[in-house]
Amino acid sequence: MSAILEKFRGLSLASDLDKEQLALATQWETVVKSGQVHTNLEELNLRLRDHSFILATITPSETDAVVFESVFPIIKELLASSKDVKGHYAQYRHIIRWSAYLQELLDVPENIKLSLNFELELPREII
Amino acid sequence: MALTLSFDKAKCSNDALKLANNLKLAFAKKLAKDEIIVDDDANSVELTVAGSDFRLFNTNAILRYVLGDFDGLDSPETHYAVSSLEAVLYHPSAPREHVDETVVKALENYLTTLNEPLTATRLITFSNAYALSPALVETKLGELPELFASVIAVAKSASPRTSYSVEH
Repeated sequence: MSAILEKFRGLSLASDLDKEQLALATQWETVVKSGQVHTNLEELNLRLRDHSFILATITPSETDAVVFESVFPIIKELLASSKDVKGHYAQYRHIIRWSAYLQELLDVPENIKLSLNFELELPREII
Repeated sequence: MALTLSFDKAKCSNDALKLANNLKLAFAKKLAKDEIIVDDDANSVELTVAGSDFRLFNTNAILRYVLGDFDGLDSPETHYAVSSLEAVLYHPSAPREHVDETVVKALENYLTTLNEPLTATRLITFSNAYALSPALVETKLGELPELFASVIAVAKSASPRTSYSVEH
């Protein structure tokens, strides 16, 4: 078990999932296990635009922890790049919001945390 | 609860991946308790539920949802089916020897029989292995049960071949 997942389980946030939530958990955990996180960032951002957490739960689920572990280095690299940082903030704003929350909840070490610029002025999102 | 399903006809995905996706969707359609409407105009995988914003784009999740079968999500078989077989499906240029070795392991460890009751986990393993190497699976398993033969025919007819493919 990964350190992130172990930390999440230590928080005792688990809740019973209905059929739809189990299907969504299967979907996102398959994306992670088959190595397709990068190609599904847009889908994830869309999901997090409409819901606080991936399974539409009130508190994060284990699926959030599993996906976060794979998404975190990708988002970190995108935001560290010198090219179009503002564009990346705008494009993945919901993943960034979710990551910022989870990195605090899961106590990600300070030296590897996402360093976020909350002063950045982003274009209004058109839904 | 009316479900609408669309098969994988995406031009950007390789033929083996498309076949694996369409096998799982054909199993879902064939084994569903309720009727599923197929949207022939859509090109990408999707399951939607009428009157709700619920939507799935992953075929493993669609098959499990339609069958209501979420057993074995953390089993070694699911792990192998997704992390090994399915991961190879996303790499059409993987060496043939590696692809065959991955399929042979699935045949030796999990696809020893196709007897009922069939689980969603077993159907996912079968779909991924068959799509990677139909010849190896057919050689090992011999004549496939009627259900599998009919699902393969549906999946193949829903998977137009493109030039972006895995060599068999």
